[in-house]
Formats: sequence, C-alpha cells, structure tokens
Amino acid sequence: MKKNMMLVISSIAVMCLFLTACTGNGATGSSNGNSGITTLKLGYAKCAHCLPMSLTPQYQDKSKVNIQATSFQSGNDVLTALTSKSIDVAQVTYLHFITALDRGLDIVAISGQVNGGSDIIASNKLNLKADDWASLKTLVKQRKADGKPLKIAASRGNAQDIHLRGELQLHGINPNKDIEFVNIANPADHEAALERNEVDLICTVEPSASKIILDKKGKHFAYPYNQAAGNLTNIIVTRSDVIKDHPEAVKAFVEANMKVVDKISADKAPWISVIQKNTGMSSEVSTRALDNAYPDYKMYKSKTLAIAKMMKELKYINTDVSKKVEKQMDYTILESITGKNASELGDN
Amino acid sequence: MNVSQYLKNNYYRIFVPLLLLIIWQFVAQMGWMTNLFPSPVKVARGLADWVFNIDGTAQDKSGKWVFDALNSTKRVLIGYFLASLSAIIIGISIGWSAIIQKTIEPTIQIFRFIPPVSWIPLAIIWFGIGDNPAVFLVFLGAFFPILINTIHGVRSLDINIIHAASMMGATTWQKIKFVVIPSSLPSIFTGMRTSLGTAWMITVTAEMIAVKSGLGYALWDSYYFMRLDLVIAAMISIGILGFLSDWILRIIIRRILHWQQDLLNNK
Repeated sequence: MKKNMMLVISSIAVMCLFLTACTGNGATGSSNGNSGITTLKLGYAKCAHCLPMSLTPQYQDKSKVNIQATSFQSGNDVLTALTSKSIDVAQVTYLHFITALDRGLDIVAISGQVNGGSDIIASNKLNLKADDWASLKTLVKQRKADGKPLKIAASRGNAQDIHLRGELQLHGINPNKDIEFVNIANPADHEAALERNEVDLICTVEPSASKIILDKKGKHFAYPYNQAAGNLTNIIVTRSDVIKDHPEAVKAFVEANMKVVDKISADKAPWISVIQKNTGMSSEVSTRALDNAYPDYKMYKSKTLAIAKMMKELKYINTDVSKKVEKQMDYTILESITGKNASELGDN
Repeated sequence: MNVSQYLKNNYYRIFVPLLLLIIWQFVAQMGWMTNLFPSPVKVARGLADWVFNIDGTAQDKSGKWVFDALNSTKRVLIGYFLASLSAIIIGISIGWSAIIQKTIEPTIQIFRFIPPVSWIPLAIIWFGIGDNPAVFLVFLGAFFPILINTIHGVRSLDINIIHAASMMGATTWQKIKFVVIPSSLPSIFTGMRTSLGTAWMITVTAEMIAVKSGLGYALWDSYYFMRLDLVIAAMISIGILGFLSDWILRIIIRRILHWQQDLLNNK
C-alpha cells in the first residue's frame, strides 16, 4: 500500500512539473551579457503583408537593439506566443488586437505596418464585371428567392472576413441573411473551392488572391475597402511589461520597422524577393499581390473602433472594447520618433 | 450500488484527475500562469454555456455542443466504418494470398507512413469542401492500424488448422469464413480499438477544412478568437466521446469474443 502511494505521489509530482513547464517561460526581452544591448524576439505570420517583418533586423540600430525575427504559421500562433511571453513583439491583424483586448490580455499597439491585401474574387461562371455591385445584388436576390443562396467564402476571423462583411452590408447585402457564408479557414484552400465551383465569391488574402486570378480560377470583383474598417490589416503589438522594462529597445524596434515601411513604400523589390523566398510564389504573383498593399506605420483609431464594433455585432467578441482600444493604442513611441502629434499618426 | 458506495469503492479512479484539477485551479488563482491559459472553473463555465446556453459567453456556439458532438461523431463513424470494412477485407486478402501480398502490400506500407494532415490539399481537390474530406482523413487515420493488425491476425494462424479444414473438404470461402476470420478476430479488434482512438484524434485535423460544425471545428474556431477555455472544453469533449465510443466497442467485442473473456477483462 505504502509502495503504491509512493508511486501515485511520484506520478503526480511529474504531472505537476509538466503543468509548471506549460505555464510560460517569463519575459523574454533580455540584455546580452557584455554589450548590454537588449534582444527583442519578433514574431510574424507568413502572409505577403506580414513578410516585410523579416526585413526588420536588417534595419535595426545594432547599438540599441538586437531583433530576432521568427515566422509563424498564423496570426493566432503569433498572438499566443506573445501573450505567453515566448516573444516580445508581434505583428498581428487588427482583429487579433481587438480579440486580445476582449480576452483581457496585456497587449499594447505601438505601430502600424502594412494594410490592404484583401480581394473579393468572383467565380468565372458568374460573369460579373469588376465593381458591378448592382448586378451582384440582383444575383443575390434572385438566388435567395430560388432557395439557392449565393455561396460566399472567407476565413472566419481574418481581416478579409471583416472587410467582406462590411462591404456587403455597405452595398445592401446582409451577409447573415441574404447569402450562405462558407468558412474556409486556410486561404491556400480558396483556389480549389473556386475551381470546383463550390463557392461563388470569395474574399481572400494576398498572395492567394493574385495566384487565383493569374491561374484564371476566378476574376477580381472588388477591393473591399470602402466600409468603416477601411483597408486596415496589420498592426504591431507588444506587452506593457516589455515597454516598461526595455523602453529604448522598443523604440529602436519601432524605428527599424518605420525604416522598413519607408523602404518598401519606395522600392518593392526587397519585398517581392522576401515573398518569393518564404512562400515560393512566382515573381508575377508576388508583384501583383503588392499592388494591393499599403505600407503605413500609422495606427487608425476610428477604423479600429469600427472593427471592434463589427466584431461585437458578429459575436466574435463578448465585450465593448472601445475604452480599451483608446487606452491600449500607444502613440507615444511613434510621436517621439516622428515628431508628429498623435492625431497626425491616426489618433482621430 | 448507490453513489456513495460507488465513490468509496472507486475513489482511486477520480483521485488523480481531481487532484490535478485542484492544482490547476490553485496555480491559476495564484496568478502563476499566463492569463491566456484559463482556469478549470473558466473552462467548466465555457463548456456549460456551450452545452446549455446559460449566458451566451460561448458566443455563437452557445447551446450547440450536442449539434457539434453529433456532427463529429457522424464523421468519425462514417470514416471509421469505411476504414474498418476496407482494412479487414484488404488485410485478410493480403494475409491469405501471397500474390496479393506481393502486389499490394509494398504500396500500402509506403502510404502508411504519410501523416493524414499532409493529405489535406489532396482531400480538398478530390472531395471538395464540407464533410467528405473530413471523412476521408478519418478514414486514412483509422485504416492502417486495422489493416496491419488484420494481416498479423491472419498470418499468425496455425497452418495445421487450415490443412485440417482442407482435408475435411472445405472450400476457400468456407476456410476464410469459418477458420481465418474467427481466428483473426482478436487481432482485428485490437486494431479497431487502436484506430478508433486515431479516428477521434484526426477529427480535429479533419474539421479544419471548411465545415461549419463539430468539436474540431469549434476548437479551431475558438482558437482564432483566443477562446482557450473553449479550446480546452473541445479537447475534453473529444476525450470523453472517444472514451465512450471505446467503451461501447469493448462491449461489442466482449459479446462477439465471448470465448476470450480472460483476454478482454480489465482492458
């Protein structure tokens, strides 16, 4: 009996050790022994708009910060790594930012990065002309009346999902009632769904959108940027403890990011190169994808609030995070670097 | 036996999970874990709302647990049934016939090592979106353990029994029906139990693909919105349903293999 109890206790001790190991590994911003330079771990996802983040270490001021960039499969993985303190700075979407605030996570937005990247693509069989919303609306009504609602797809919870829903509503189409929404989580699966005529319209992300169009599996219909959330896509976030413990390093990181943004605004060649290198997409696809990309380090608060409102209405979040958005979008770093005031940097 | 008697007799079964829950709750309350990782109470609350629609905190999943569980179960059962049927037929054929073994087995052995998740792109191309690719992935996950165990069961058969059947004038079909299949059943059932677990594990992967329901779908969808309480609730649900389905399978096996009770006891 005593032997059995010892075995049980030993087993529980091992399980407790495992649980402890799962509880996060503490803040990662660290100073290099001799130089005293802080190392910041940066995480980003592998989309066309996110990949310029991999260039950030090339533009760092080595006397102030050492940036280590790591790519992740999705924005959710990046956000999880940031909040569990595996990384210090993360490039995520505005939706991730709002979601994290709703969950009560310690997350602070410090800079914009690249916006755009959403494209509504119509199936070839629809014969819709670009931006012909009147014809689309007629088609939606007709198909609804026939009992075969138009199938419109996006990746639920992505920026493209919000852009699509907002744009449909703007043109008098209720995405919850007038159409059949199809959730295809991985954008890489969008092309096959269009090709098989399983969906009629799809709002996807670059470079998948450009690939679909260049493969002639669908036609560009519209860029969904007229709705209240505009073309917002990516934002750079960190935790308050990172800002508190390493203010100069965080500032140096934002400076490096701004240099990247300025560089890729003027010359897209390094950006195209990094997309090809990381995604294996052709030069043609990469180049086309970047026509739908808008590098911008500003953070647009009113549009962010519009996204938060839409997410609340869609029940993607439980709470009204407006006050948290006001509080957790920190313009001070951008202000100190650019010399501009917050309203010039999007705080309006 | 009443509840208190049952608990008295089986306290050791619940001791470890209960202790782990207490430790987990304690660690969470002390703030020793990242606040991304929910406490057991939060998970229980999320699960309760997912099942009973208590306060709507599970958002669009509130009250839809039964719907999700039934959809996952449906996909698992269809994939598992197809896998069992085909693996048993192919396994017996390979085990029985040297020619079939030489022609089919090497190819199958190559496919065996390809992870089901890597079939996702092909599953979408072949089966489109919706239930079919999910069923296909479950099928793939469940097929190989049954196949390997069936082949093993047939090959482990004492050749003298086959010779005896031949001497009594049994046809090939009679030998397979009355000798090979009954003798291989313990091995086949071992494979079926193993692959039932795999089938449930694959559900999470399978429901990444354009479905609107299911426990795996709920898990991924909750992760997109950082609802780790629901992620864990989905994991628990899959574990419970997997355990229940294995329990039912064990009852069926006991009925069929009534002459091998000793082998099945306490499994």
